[in-house]
Amino acid sequence: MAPLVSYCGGFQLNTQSQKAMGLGGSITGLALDGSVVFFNPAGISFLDSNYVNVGINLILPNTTFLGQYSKSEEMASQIYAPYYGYLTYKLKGKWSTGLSINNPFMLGAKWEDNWSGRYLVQEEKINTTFIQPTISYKINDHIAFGVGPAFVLSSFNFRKELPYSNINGSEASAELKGNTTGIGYNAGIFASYGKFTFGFDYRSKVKLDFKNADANFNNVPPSLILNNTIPNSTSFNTTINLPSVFSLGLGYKFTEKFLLNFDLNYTGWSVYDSIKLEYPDYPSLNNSSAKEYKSIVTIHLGAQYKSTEKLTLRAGIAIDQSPVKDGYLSPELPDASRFIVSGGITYRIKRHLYFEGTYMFESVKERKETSNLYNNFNGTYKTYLNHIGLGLQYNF
Amino acid sequence: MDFNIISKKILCCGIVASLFIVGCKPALDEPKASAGTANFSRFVAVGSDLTAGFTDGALTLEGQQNSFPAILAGQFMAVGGGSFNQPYLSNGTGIGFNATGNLVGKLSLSSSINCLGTSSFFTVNATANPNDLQWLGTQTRYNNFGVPGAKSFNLESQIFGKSAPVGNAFYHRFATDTGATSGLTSTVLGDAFKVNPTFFSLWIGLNDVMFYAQSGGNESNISMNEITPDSIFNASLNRIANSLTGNGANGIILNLPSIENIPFFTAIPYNSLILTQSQANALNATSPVGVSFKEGANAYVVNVNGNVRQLVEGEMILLSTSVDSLRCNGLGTPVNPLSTKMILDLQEVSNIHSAIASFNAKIKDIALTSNLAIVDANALFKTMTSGIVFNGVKYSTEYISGGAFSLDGIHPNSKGYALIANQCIDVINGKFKSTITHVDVNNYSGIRFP
Repeated sequence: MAPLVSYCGGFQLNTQSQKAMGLGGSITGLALDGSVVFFNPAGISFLDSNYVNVGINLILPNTTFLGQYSKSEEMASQIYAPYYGYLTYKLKGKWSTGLSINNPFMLGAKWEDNWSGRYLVQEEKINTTFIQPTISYKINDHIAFGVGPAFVLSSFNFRKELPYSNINGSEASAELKGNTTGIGYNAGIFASYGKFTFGFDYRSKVKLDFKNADANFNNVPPSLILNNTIPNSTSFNTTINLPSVFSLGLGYKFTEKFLLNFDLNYTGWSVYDSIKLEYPDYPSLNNSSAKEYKSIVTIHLGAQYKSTEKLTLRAGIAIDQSPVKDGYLSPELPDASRFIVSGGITYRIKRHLYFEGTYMFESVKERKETSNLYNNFNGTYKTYLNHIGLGLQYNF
Repeated sequence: MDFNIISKKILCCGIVASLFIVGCKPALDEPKASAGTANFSRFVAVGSDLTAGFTDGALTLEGQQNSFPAILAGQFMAVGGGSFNQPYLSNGTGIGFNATGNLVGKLSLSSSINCLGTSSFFTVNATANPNDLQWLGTQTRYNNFGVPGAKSFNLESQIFGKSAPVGNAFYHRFATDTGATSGLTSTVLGDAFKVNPTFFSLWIGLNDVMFYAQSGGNESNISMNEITPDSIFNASLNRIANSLTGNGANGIILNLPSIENIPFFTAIPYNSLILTQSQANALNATSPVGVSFKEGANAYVVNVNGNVRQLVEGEMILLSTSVDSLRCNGLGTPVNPLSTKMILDLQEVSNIHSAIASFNAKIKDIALTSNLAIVDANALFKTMTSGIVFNGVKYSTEYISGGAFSLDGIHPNSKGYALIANQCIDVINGKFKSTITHVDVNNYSGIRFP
């Protein structure tokens, strides 16, 4: 099986709300629940009550790789579980406030330890948690503005084999890990005219500087430690740039029960140009891998139907481009354009308490790399992702 | 059925199927290997050290198992290839011969604090098992006729199957006739022909130059170390190719690498004498006219018939030169100049170049006239000099750190042989419209660091 936890191209997730997932990620022009704090801070002003939303998504990725040999290889079975929590609260007058905690970017790849790309990656994880306190101001009945700073916690770890064999023929390996914090912001405008709703949201890029991260090298032949080729452990610095996301959403309420929303996202992946590892004490280990991502556009379409007082149904589709250019496709993130379908429900359990569930399927198009420019690791990748989302909502 | 399995099935397959989307695991079409127009049922490899799987200064069982023809034969299995028998040694340290002709086992890498007080590598020979030299008898038909030390004309020699030093110890082991009754032995080519090959590889000629190169240009005037004259090489190659294609077999022929692309000749650069200003001053005080040193990198010094001079660009120091003496005992300085046996001067390098150029021209010619697929090993080694990245691992001709050559600096290790096998597969696929898959070079054994 395969783990490439990503949705929306690159390693951006759009699993921060059951409703958003159920609508195929089409949410910027709607104010449906507490997730507006993240998707469009101005939408808080248009909510019908105060909201608490919490949830978790299980992501089950499957990637198959076929290299230049006749046998295909599959990623190891993994489950990733991004979560979210939102709170909105209407203040006196025209002000509203909210808090968002979620994991907008996550990358996971775990291949078998002895697979053919083991010198590139055996396992990689990047996790981010965004904590965003937010305020929103309703200018008039038609338009509101919202903004909040995003405090970002991030961790990553990375393992790969090193081509240094000891006297018994077993090889050395590298294990890199680090934690850091970063800061960004989220700003949005929400408007409502008759049956139309309109949203515009901008989430800034976030620079994550990892200083003094840990590099551990295992099973290194003693002679290579003695002659300073590789140490047992040392520290290194690196930077990961998370992209800005610009979203436009347009909602239309056909009836009280039925609405549609169309979203367009522009993700500024071009900031993810290369990953440089710098080892202050071992400059010979420094390396830079070019990513050269390009910015991408994603299109989402979702529909919601309130079938009974207790049950609301949703369905959505989305089409994604991939930020990864030909020549840079590699097994840390074997990305390609995607087709996404989803369906979800909200079910009222008690007067103010709702259960929400979503299923989403992503098909990442089969993609062949014929000449990777920096690792010459070539072959065909194909990925499916299954998402199962569970959430609770409380209104007050 | 436990809950996990049931729930997985429901979550994964059930829901997906209900959404009209294909199955859970993405499947990719695995290519079917085909033989194309070639017939690999009886594959025979003819050649020298490089065909036998010679590595780390010796022929070992592991080296034989990972010889480039054995790797090829493994891939041919998927397209109708038959078994590939080799005259295997016992599982041990192998057999080789050092510069003075003594039986030794394979080299291994050691590390110690050198005369400068820093950690560095050196190689040591293991002890060989003399039983491995014994004749294997006539029972088995072999497929690998790679004979370490063989030159082109040796393949037809009727004394080559005698025991060393008259014959060749490696061929003697598996010659069908060691000359016990007639005085004349079987020949490598004759034995290969008996297998009635349908497909063959031929890589011969490097020893026709390499003995000269390794001896520093045959300074001792030993006839064995002379470069084979073109006329002899050409005639031998004609007869070898005619014989191997006699029954209609297809085959590949590999050309010869240049010595610039072999670590034995490049590991110690001519100008790698590193001096401080005071060391340079001290040497200059006693240096003969025309020899001078400066701070930093300097050319080493050689004694040519009593005349001491510094090496010039293009000249080469052999890897067999004592690195510790270069480091600390003043070897290569006016105090203790290099001998001409330790180096190749410009004339000798030029002799080697022109021999390899004309041998390669002949190999190309034979490939055309005999309709063989030509594998440009010369280009492969040249590319490797700047580095070949395979599945994220860089291989180069750097001694030890390059990863593709064995500790003797001349022969590839198993990873290097796998790179060669992949090159052969590309050429075979191109010529015979076959679809044979590559091997994963990284899975083969390489340098083992202490």
